[in-house]
Amino acid sequence: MHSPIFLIITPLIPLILLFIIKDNLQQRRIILISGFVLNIASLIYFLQETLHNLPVSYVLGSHTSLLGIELKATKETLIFIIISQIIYNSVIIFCLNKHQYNNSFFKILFISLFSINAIYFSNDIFNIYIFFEIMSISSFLLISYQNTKFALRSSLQYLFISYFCMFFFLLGAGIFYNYFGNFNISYISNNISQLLNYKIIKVGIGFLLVIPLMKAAIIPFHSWLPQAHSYAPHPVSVILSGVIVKTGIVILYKLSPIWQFFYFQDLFLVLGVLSAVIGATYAVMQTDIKMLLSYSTISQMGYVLIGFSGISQDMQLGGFLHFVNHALFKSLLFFCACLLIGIYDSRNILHMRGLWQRNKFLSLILIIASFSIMGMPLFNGFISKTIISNQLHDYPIFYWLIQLTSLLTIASFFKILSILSGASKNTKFDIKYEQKLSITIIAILCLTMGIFYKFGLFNVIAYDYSYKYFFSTKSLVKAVIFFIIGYLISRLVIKQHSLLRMIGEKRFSFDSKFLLMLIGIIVLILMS
Amino acid sequence: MNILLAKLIFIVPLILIFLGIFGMIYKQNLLNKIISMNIASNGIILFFVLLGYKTEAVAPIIHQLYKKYVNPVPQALMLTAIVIGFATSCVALALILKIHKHFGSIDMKEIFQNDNNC
Repeated sequence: MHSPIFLIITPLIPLILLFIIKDNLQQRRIILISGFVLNIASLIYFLQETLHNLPVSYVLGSHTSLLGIELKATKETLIFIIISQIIYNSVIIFCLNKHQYNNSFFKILFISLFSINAIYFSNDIFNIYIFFEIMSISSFLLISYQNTKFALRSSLQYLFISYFCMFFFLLGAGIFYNYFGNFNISYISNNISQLLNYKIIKVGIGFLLVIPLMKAAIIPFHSWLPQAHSYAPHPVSVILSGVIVKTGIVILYKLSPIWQFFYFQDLFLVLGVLSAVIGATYAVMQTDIKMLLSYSTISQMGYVLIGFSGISQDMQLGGFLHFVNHALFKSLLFFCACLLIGIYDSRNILHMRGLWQRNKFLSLILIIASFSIMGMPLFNGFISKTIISNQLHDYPIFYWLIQLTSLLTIASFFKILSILSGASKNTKFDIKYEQKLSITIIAILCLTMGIFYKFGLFNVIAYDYSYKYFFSTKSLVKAVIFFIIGYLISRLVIKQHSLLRMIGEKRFSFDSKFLLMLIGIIVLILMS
Repeated sequence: MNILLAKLIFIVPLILIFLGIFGMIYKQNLLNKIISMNIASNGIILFFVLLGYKTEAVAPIIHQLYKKYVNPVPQALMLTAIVIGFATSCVALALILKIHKHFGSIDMKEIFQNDNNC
């Protein structure tokens, strides 16, 4: 039963090999392909060994779980791991022949994969802190990799905000250690019921939740995300939006045995709906394609948080599904953005025209990805968004706000789809075969998750899910009406009135971002 | 008296942490921000070390003369936190060096001045 530790340390093997070889493309390609094969092999080994006897607990150094470092895998961990492996490996394949990403880029990439795997498995607060910091440092380096002006600035801003929130996480961990004498999450959740009335424990849990919310870019902790995600190198944006932003939700889920004793459900619901609406509103005003996608990430993470707020089990299923679906379609969209910026040499959507004439393949992929995030029937976003919005029927205000969000999302992605039309004078553009491969795999997964939603993930989580309302006439008619209204909104917005542009480009100053977060932390403590 | 002192001593790391956070928010110079960050991080390290503190106890090296030992686990854990803090400061300083090359300044206001291009 050593497969969890194999899965964690596998990325370190190509990392060491990359230190040995010279910095040239051919040698690097061999190492990267072998790294890819090793990742897949260790994943298959892990699945084969653990799939039928979950949950698995593995303690390093043959101690008891209270003394040693415990690694724990549940059914949900499997989903997190599979999705992160898919995205990391597709990025590795995507960058296989790129000259601008040299050995050191891939070294940092493998370190970040290692730390993410470790976060998914670890079952104590202090290990989560350590691997979280390793992941954060590697993502600062990845963002600032190309040394461009804005990337450096946003990386530093992300560093300050991340480290600032980490103080609170450590303080919370210290408070819990003082009362329980241990960092193990299972141990703490078993014994916390005796100490629920202690005020300091409430402060501690409020502090612990700062980091997950910051990493998942939930309002008011979101301010670092748009710049960091949009000025990072393109493959890094894929990883940031596909995997790293999700680690916040993973930690929130890992800590859920502790916070479920306090009244956080309603707070998470409110914060999730706020992030969804505000993120979508900002997204629709952007003209920079990567900025639009980054704001849309905030909005979609709001959906995921609503799902994970733990109001009902169905809602949690919706959260899980949207977790996976968002990782797939957002990474696909960032891959498309990467290729589009390469074709048109501009980040502005208004300068891109006539994609359908220039490249049919990329146009099709862009349509699949956009329809998925819009929540159109037969695409994967539809299933998860339907579950989440149907579960909100008890809260009418939130229900309508979520409907507004999905309208705004449709409008903002019609804005991106408008680049298909128009005539193009330039010649056709070819995409390299390895880039086509990695994009096609994710696009096929998007479609599979949308059409065969009864298989795959549902079997892994083992929920009984035979809902009839997915493809009912009502939901199909609703989707068509939303599609049309969204198109009309996008026609209005695409002209870019000066007021809209002014609001869309308004940024908080650095100090006010900190103050906003401090207010958020105080709210967290007061609500616990 | 000793027990009261042992509880009061927790004010010291809290003061350090709040000083650090104050500096991180209000200082405009990036180097000052990093110094404040390290002050706050030292406050947290002190907080953890004090968690393992017991009055009239000695370091946990077992000897027949002593019966009370301090808890060594928080101290050991803080070694990791110190290393992580060091690594983060290094990355931040490297980023500041490069930012100075591009912007010609390490003042927060000047760096974030023309935000509309961003």
